[in-house]
Amino acid sequence: MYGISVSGVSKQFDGLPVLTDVNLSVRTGEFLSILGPSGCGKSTLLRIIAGLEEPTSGDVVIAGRTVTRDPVWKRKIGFVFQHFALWPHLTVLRNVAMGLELRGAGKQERRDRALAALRLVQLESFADRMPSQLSGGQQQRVAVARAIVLEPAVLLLDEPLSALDKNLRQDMQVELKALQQKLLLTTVFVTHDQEEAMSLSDRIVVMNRGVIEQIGTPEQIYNRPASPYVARFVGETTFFEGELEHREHGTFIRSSANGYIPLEADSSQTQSDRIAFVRPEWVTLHKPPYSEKRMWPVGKIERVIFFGATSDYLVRQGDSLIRVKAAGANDCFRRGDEVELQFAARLLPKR
Amino acid sequence: MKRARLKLGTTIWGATAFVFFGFILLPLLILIAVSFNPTTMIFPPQGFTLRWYTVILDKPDFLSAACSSTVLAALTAAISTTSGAAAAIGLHHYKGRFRALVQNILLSPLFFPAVIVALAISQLMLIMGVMANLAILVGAHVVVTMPYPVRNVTAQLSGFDGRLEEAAMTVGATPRQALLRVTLPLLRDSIVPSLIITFVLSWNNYTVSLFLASSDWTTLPLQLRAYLQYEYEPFVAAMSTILIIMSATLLFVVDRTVGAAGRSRV
Amino acid sequence: MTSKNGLRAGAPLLILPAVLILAVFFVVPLVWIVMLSFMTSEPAGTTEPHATLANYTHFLTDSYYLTDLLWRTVWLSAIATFFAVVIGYVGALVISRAPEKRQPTLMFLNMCPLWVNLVVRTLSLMVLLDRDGPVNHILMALGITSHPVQLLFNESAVLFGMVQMSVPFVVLSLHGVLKSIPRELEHAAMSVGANLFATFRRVTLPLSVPGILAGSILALGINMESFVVPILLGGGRVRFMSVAAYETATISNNLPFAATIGLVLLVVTLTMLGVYQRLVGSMSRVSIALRSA
Repeated sequence: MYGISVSGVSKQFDGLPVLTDVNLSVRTGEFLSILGPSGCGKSTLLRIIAGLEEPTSGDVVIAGRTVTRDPVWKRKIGFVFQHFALWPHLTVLRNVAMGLELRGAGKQERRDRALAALRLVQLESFADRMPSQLSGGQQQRVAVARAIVLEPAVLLLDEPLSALDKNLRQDMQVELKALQQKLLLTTVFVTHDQEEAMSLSDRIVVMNRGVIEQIGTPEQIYNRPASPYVARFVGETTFFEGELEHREHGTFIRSSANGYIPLEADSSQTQSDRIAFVRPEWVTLHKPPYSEKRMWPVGKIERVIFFGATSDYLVRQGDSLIRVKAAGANDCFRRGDEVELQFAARLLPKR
Repeated sequence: MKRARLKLGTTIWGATAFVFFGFILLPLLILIAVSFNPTTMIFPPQGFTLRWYTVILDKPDFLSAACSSTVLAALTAAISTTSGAAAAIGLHHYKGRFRALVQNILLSPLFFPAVIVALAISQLMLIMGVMANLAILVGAHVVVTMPYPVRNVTAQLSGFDGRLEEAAMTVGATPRQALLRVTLPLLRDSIVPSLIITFVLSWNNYTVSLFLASSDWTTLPLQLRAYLQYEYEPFVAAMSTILIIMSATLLFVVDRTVGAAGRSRV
Repeated sequence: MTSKNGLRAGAPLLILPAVLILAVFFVVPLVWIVMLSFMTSEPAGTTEPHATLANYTHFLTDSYYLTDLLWRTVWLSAIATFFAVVIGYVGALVISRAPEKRQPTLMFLNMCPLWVNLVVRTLSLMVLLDRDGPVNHILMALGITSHPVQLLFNESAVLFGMVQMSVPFVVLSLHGVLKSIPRELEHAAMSVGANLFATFRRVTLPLSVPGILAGSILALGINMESFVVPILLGGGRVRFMSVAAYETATISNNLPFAATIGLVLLVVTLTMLGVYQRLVGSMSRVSIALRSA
């Protein structure tokens, strides 16, 4: 059963395409993130689902009902804006209760249900304050309470945490996820922060210039990116480009920049024959003497970056600077050391 | 040495300020003083009396003109502000081709000499054989005052966050409900001053009323003018003093409304 | 129909009442007035319904109308605007340099006269300029004249009244501009040796030109089209365009010609304002270019 279904949605503004043939399904109770840089169309897509924008073509189905021609006030959605959009002339309670007022709920019912929603975001005692008296994080929580009080079919959030400080953001992420799991709300969360998307989502939709690049679980997105764009957008990557070569101890990519780069054992037909990538944590470094088979690339440590809890090495290999994650606290490579990089790069899928 | 120069500078500023404000306010102050003069409309007054203020009560023309002016101004303020504010809101959302044109047309009465507007309307009335009445007078006053609410509300709308209306619609408000519950309350800071401004403008209006008033509907400024010509005595100054105080009070109220709102927006 | 269109669709409905009112009480009468100006009127007071340029030619060829009336109006308005701008600049300067806390009060005082009835304001000037009034007393006390001078019901009175009327508007226009000039620029000038006058001439004045432009345009428009001041303070002896239109309509009963006068006033005013804006606008651009060279 699908909570939200988007089929063939395209959108043009003044002749310029913002979204091109977007197809997407969100399962009931799922937490789905739409991830991408500014201008990729993710907010537009969310607003089309909400009904705040009309698609040039395509359909939107929410909870089994085709809502493409429905105005936003008829769709059963909850929407959280990036800058909260709380009404400054109303108290927190009236902000949350406005939807109930519009439905003709009685005064006591409005109060009870609004307070219940505020309780879920731990702001019950702030009910009679004005929005201007609240901090950014508190205002955002009121916005969330306002969105869920009507028990909507879906919850839509447009970069809700981007306006908050980093520390606050992480706390709010935890709270939002807990709330969503408690209420089992079908949720679509738009963000440009890949860590945020990865940590919160059941599935992620990666977008680029109005087109969906990949839909998958965080694990799939991270370990099996569908394109160089996705590989680059999520996490650190080093790419290798060249000709496939089969040799006795395995399959390699031979590039003029790096020489022979070892690939994973199970390279299949559906994969590209030109581009492979590697993640920093897939590489282990070894000091001489090197293995006899001499199949691993050799490089020189150009820089050590100390993060406190971890370190990264930037290793010059051929023409590339490969980022490698230090194995642990006992790693003792230093700048200038010559090292052997043991890893297996992964081929990207065919386009 | 520097402190002396600073003091001299401050004194010069103070003196200049004094002279400037004297220039614009002195005539009014003199008029107020004359209202206490027991004899004639001459400054400096040769005595002090309050009797001219009681004489006002014996002037039925004045009282009825004041009444007429108030009714006229109230109607003008209501109609002018309502339609002007609505137009400003509509223009804000309207993305059609005629947007700039309509906006200019709505503001254009500001540039036209009042004489032309008044002449035009009175002429038209004559042609159509319509008698001068309250409706025509209100219509003329509304035309002359409408640019102010349009301009003020447009100015406030330019800084308005459209997401507030969208948020209302996401919780189920139709555009009309969003307008009533979110937009209008938040436009209070430009609508209330507009009401007062249009009221005062209509109340003080002389030119338009001159052409369109009749024996049924003489306005206060016209009545005052008649007194100036035929009964030049200090009671006119007394009436004027009352008007000055009322105007200053209304201005004060507007000042406070806009000022307080401006402060709370921080 | 989705929401964006909902807001947009309702928009014309909101604009309609205002447009209707303006159409009936402004546009239609104006069109009629323009048409009327091309008609002639019989001595009996009726109008001839055929189109003619007679009114306009009459106006533009008769020196009585052209020089005595139109030119006098322009000349008086220009002088009044000049003084209003000078005095208004001083006022705006004083207010913008006053302590922050005092400024709202001072602006309030500046706005006060604008909200007082025009008839009351002219009355106050009548008392001021009366033969037995304070100005005459001061003049005689200072020995400038030996007997009271006729200060009312002449051009000087009208001029004075127009200046009085337009000064607060100039202050309003200039106040914002002056406030926005950063004090640091003036301090910087003083730190390289400029005294108060030089700082004013080289920093404050050039930067305030947009405000001067806006204020003088506003004042010029108001003065050209003023009606109450000339008619009340002129005592029927001062020729002024809007007054002439009124008298032609009511006393001479020549409505088409009154319409002509009114329209000539409108056209001349708008042209003057347009030319002035073009002129000063380009001059201010030149001065900015010179300064940065």
